[in-house]
Amino acid sequence: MALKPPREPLVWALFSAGGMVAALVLPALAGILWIAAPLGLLGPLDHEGLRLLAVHPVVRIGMGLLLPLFFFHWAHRFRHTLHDGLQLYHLSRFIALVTYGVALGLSLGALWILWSLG
Amino acid sequence: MENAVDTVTLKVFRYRPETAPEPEYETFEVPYQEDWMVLDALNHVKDEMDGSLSYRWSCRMGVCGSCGMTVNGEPVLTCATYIEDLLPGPIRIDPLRGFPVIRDLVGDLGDFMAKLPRVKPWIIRKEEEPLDAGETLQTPEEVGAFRQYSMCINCMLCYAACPIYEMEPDFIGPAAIALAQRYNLDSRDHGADERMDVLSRKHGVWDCTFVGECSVVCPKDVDPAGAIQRYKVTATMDWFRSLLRPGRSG
Amino acid sequence: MRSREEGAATGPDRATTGSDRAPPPAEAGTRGGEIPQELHAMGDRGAPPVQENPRHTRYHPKWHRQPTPLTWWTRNRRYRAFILRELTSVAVLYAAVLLLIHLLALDRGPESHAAFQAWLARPGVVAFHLFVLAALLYHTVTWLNLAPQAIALRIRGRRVPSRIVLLAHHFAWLALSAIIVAGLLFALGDPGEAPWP
Repeated sequence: MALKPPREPLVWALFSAGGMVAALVLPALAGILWIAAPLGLLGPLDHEGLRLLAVHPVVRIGMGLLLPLFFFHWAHRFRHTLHDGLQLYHLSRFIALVTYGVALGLSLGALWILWSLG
Repeated sequence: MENAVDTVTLKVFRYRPETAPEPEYETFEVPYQEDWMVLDALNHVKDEMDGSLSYRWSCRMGVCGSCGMTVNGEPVLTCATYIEDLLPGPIRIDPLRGFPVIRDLVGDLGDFMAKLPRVKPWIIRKEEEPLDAGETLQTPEEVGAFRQYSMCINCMLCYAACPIYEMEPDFIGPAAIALAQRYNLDSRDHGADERMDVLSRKHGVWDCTFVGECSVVCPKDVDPAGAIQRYKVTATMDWFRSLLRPGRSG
Repeated sequence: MRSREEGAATGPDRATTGSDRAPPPAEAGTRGGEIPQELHAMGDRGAPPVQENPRHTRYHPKWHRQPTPLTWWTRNRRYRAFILRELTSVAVLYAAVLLLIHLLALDRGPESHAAFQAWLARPGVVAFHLFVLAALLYHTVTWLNLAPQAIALRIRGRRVPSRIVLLAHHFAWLALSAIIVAGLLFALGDPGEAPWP
């Protein structure tokens, strides 16, 4: 087969980096953006303030770094969950190609969206 | 003993391929004393009830690493597991998981014995020094860097606890990697590159998903799970470094 | 060919049966595949020739192997905690995609953002997001708790105690969370001028 899954050290590094940043930033982001704010705990929302924050170059570059890491974190971990959890050893290569492939596609999509914002 | 003794029920895994093709459980009602270990109860069965029961043991003091079995689903050294802690019973005793069973509670550990030399668990020097060069001294810090990993008694509890090894027997496994690290981290050793071939290849450290159970069951606090994760960090940095240095492939 | 048992039982015959011995047949369908035998525990040099009983294949046909149940991860409490920890990756994926959608909704103007906020405020969606938040928190706690096991920090030759590494990670998490919360509150709750360039 021509397609080969990527090298383990590379995907493990992406998985680890993604896991670390997800651990550090996601609970706070999710808690404020998708729970506290919609429930009205923070008063009326300022759309323009949030939009300016979202399209700020620092946030865009930060997101461009974080989102691919999140996607590859998922890909690596979910690959092993499927592979070991359901004992799909005969599908080893297929699972790796699909999970990392999805992560790569999502990352490129995210970068394109971030590029075209604003 | 003058007063009435307490008894405990043992449900023991029996596999006798010469008489029965399938394993079965046999129940023994064993009188026990307050300070008995599970191994004492098995010895009682063997001495007084059924001499055909097969299992391994030797030192009775957690040093030899031969009496590892699965007790109530957990891999333990039976010489270090109090019956009192498992009351009221019954206590189920199975062979270690992940190894083919030869008979009763005796598993074949040949797979580990074949893997162990592959990680070259001995000191490798770039060049041998003559004897009259004297000892190679180490500071307490240098010894401290690997001491923990040298405590392994090869009891195989970590392999029995590892679901990956059970399902993917080609995985080189916790103890072998911890022992490789024992030598990699030794200041007298120069063999890390030779071991890397085995450790970072297919079925080396990358099969591990850090379930962490190996470190939970280890009777000697070797922490093989930690050894494997640290090796992943080392192997990853090495790989990135090899990208920067052309001519050496990762 | 004479029986191997016979050969092993009578002393002088051993050498003769040993020399014409065929290699042990590879057993089909056994675990493991072949393991290179070139190495010996004595090192690469001077490994003594191994006397093998040819009747012993690597896995004897009569040896018993217990298949692993498909639900091995329900075996004990720690395995269950492990599989839940691994499944939090799905929550990370969801959060990443939702962040992207949130950005798009913001970028498309006030109406689109208001519609997105209305969707976020639906009770079912809030309940689902509480569940996602719980998974993300579980990921954070398990990830940070395992960090000291994977990181062997040494300062002046001495291993930094794992408790310090653990505390440092949790402190970093709390500090970063505080910064994110403060930044978002600033952006969300102050109508009018944006305070950054």
